[in-house]
Amino acid sequence: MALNYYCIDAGSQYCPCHLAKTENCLICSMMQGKEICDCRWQGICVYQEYMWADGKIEERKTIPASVVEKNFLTDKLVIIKIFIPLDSLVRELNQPGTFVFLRSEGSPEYYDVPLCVMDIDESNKILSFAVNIVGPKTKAIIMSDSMVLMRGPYWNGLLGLKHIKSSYSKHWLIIGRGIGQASIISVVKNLLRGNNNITVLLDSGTLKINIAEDELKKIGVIPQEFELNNAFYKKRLREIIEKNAVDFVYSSGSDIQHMFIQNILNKLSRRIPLIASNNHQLCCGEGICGSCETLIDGELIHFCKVQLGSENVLGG
Amino acid sequence: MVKVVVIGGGWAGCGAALTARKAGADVTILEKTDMLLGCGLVGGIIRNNGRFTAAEEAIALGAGELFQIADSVARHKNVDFPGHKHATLYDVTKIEPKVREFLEDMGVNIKFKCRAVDVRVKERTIQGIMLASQEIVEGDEFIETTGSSGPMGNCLKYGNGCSMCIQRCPAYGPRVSISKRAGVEDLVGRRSADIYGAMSGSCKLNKDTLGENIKRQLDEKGVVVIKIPEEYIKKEKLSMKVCQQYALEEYATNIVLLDTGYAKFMTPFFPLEDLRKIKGFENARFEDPYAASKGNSIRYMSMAPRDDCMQVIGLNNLFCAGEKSGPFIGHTEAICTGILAGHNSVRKALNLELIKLPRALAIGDMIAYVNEQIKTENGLYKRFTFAGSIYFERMKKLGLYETSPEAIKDRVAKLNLLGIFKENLIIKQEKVAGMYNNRF
Repeated sequence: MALNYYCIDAGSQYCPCHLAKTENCLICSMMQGKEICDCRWQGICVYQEYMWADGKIEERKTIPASVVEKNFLTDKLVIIKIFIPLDSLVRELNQPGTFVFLRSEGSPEYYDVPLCVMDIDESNKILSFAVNIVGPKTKAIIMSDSMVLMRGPYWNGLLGLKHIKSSYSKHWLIIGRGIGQASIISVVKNLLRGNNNITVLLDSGTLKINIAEDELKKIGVIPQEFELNNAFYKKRLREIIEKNAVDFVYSSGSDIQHMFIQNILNKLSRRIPLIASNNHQLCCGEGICGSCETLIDGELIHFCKVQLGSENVLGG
Repeated sequence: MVKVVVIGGGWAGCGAALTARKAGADVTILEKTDMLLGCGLVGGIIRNNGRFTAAEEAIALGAGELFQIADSVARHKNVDFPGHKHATLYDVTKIEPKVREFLEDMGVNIKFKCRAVDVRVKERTIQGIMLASQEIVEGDEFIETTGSSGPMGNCLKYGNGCSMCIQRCPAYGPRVSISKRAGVEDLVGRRSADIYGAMSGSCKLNKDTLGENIKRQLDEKGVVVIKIPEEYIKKEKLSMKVCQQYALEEYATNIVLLDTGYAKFMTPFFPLEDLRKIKGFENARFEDPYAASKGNSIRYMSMAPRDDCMQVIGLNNLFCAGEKSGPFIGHTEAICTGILAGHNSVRKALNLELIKLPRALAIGDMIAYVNEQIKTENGLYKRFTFAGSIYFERMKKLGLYETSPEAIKDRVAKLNLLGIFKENLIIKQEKVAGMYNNRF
């Protein structure tokens, strides 16, 4: 059987995209240069959309956004808040797993940093990002005092989005470590709307600070302490998964963390899906540049666009 | 217990389920939409020309129930219309619940809104069918009756785009070629060297939107022929048609309507604004395809190579029928290939010799003839039906065309095939095994 995946952008206003134009569409056989229709159906016909649009595609734009707040939590960790002038764009950014590219004003495009939208204040049109200062690109961003350039939205920040979107009255275990905690606030908010029961474990990792803690408490979720590299907590994690009736696990952190959790899940008699933060190197976000390309079961997968089950990504 | 999985609940799939169940198998139909019969939900013509012979042969072979159901909901019998004699027009608005109830009463398990998307194959043997929901349906033998029309990409590339036909691809998802997923390349029909497929040949008007005169004539006689004003005649449409039995001059210069519950309009499509200029059609609107002003579905995009026992070549346990098994046109052709595929699937599971229907029968000859023809140079340009064009000519020439049910029954009896599809092979084999066990 072929790998079962879908494209995060299919059916959105940014579909068809450059991949269709270059006969590299991820789901439509016609737009892979084949003669017979045989697609990965996602509820719409991309080929039809492309023909009707007469080959025109809608591209994501880079817009200037004003910096409204910079809060240094440590000398290496900054929370940046920016103001987005467009209501429609704010709505598009408001879903779990969303990321954008930010760069300082005046820098060339290769200064773009992929950053997860940590939180969104829809009424005031303000986005929050957690920036871990690691190199020239992130340094340039935190130097920006008034303006940054933003390109987005991109939605493939976590793998297994459909489970989050369709979950109702289930029990979720969420583990966030280090900068990975940035992605869990929007996930938790989304799950709370679906009346789900949520257990959150936070590991500050090398950051030495839990960036999601305050916001989670504000929305009524009390996180528990966790350390991935501590045998006691590892045992505790196993207990929670095995004894509590957990339906889904969301892991936001390193691939080592994902693998560790997947191994626990593989040993269980019942199948619990693992939803995982997408840790691939995201560069263009459009499936073009190849930096996120990974060979899986003989297929080159562009992880900036492809939603694939974690068992395929991590080895089930 | 032998488990047979039929993929696609159109006429061919219903035929296959019928005989597989009669032969004693546990049968499941996987259907992507919410109804059985596929194109049979909008067709309605049976028993015209050579189709009469084929239907009576199926009855004599012991698998005539689907024809009898169609007869029971006939709106008109023994109708003649241009190029066609003694047609029965069944009521497309009444037949589906009857077929559904009949198959369910037989014990066939029908799963609706289950779209097959992939297969699990091991050493050329299919182990299971994967549904869009990721569920795997396992079985011993599989019969693919997914047809050959659509999906939207084909209708757009080789036709005028999705015209919203009864297949309802945008709502229920596209047809997937199971044989291709299992590693067997599809054969693709052509209408010229560079254009694949062919366009469905008729659309349906809502009868209540037609003029009183036309409506009354349809209700009384079942057929209405009206001359098309010169400026709207488009003869080039004839070459586009799937249904070569209706690709006659009369159909380009006349509006031919048949009463199948809807007013079946024997042209692939017709711009509504032109149609409404003709007397009696001032308020007309289409019932299928909904966008019949612009086009119709594209077909023959996905046929599997098969032998005359209906087994797909290259796989150990996949059979096929209907349009999937060759460029056949029509319900009768679908049912007749289906009943053979269904019966043979059970024979295969029990390691019995597979049946090839003799060429002294119209059904047997057509199954073999189509297989010979598609291997010829222009074979993929041709279409085959008992009702007209090249195959009906052949039937007449070979003396296969016969309209007396008794004579047809005699023919089947002389071949020792009377009621052959009625036999429960599984019980029979258990009896043989029982006798064998008792001896030791």
